[in-house]
Amino acid sequence: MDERFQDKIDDYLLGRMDEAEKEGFLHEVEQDPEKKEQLEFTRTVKDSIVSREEKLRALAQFRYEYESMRHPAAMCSHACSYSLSQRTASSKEAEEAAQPKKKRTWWWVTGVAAVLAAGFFALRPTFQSSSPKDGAPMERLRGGDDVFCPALADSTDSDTIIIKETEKDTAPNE
Amino acid sequence: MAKTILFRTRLQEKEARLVEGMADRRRRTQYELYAYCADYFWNNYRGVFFADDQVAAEILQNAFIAFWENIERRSIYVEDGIVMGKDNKPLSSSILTYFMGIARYKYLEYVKGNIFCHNPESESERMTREEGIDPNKYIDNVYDPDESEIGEIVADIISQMSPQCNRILTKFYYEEQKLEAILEDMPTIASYDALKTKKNKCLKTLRESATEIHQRKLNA
Repeated sequence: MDERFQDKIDDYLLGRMDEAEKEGFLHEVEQDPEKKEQLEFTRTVKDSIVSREEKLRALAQFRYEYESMRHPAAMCSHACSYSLSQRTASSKEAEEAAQPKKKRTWWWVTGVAAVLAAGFFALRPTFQSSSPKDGAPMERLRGGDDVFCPALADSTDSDTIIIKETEKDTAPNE
Repeated sequence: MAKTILFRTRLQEKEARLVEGMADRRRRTQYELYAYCADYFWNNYRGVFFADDQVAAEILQNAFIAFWENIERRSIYVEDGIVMGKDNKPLSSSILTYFMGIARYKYLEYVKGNIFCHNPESESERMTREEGIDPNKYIDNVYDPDESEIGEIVADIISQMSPQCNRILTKFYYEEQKLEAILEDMPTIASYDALKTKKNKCLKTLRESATEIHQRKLNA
């Protein structure tokens, strides 16, 4: 590969030549098949790089949309954290532009979680049972559970012992 | 003259619409095709090759770009509502199978390029043994063997460039930055001449690799 000629090829492909220079360059290329091949190859490389970069930018957007729809709670899951070696500065810029949307979604999720937590703690006392001593007014009026709670079947609290007198002890004629 | 009427399933209709929309550069359809392929990929890649999620995401990206470029190059296209593939014949399988074929090839490329993570020979042998396939057959999904031009090969091997070459050539040819500006962004390169030499070396390596692959395919 002719490295000195490569500079001319790059200037031509990147539009850094004026008309006179372009004409001289193209004439030189026509005269030399190797230089022509070198020009065509460099053009192919340039077109391929441009095509790939545009696709990478588009893919960054697609990936973000895909992750938003499929995994809203895990915005930066595996598909987001792909290899840095394949990321270019341009695709990084596209991703950085998508960051504010991601932050808004996180704020929304956090807000909903906070509202649910506050609601839980606010309603919790309503469902807690109260002790008999500090019970509801109607319970205090009725006299509490001691009066109306029946004794348990196996409780010995109300048991009594009755001693039966025998017939011998009570016979009158002895 | 009798005309053959081809009946399409709903899946075939959907896939034809997606491929056509991709070729017409319809943004919404492009995303839809991406989601279609990504869903299938994430649901099936674990049974196809060994890779962690980060590597798998990289493979998905490269495979989708290759698939996209095949559509742009009309290696796969739609005619009369039917998805056509090699030899201008209707694609014999779903586009998802075609896409996963590209992904398998990209996985093998990754394995070959990362010998510290995998043993490339045993990985290739494992795929052949367990799946009874020749991994190299999927290369047809990436390169059209009948019309193998340097352009297709370059588009593919660019994805395998070293990060430094990737960065230099992208800044130079895509962002059209001058070498002086690139030098400021790359403090690891000592001088303007070193950067210029590096850039030309990247181009030379690309050219040699592309020529070698092209020769191999012509001789196959």
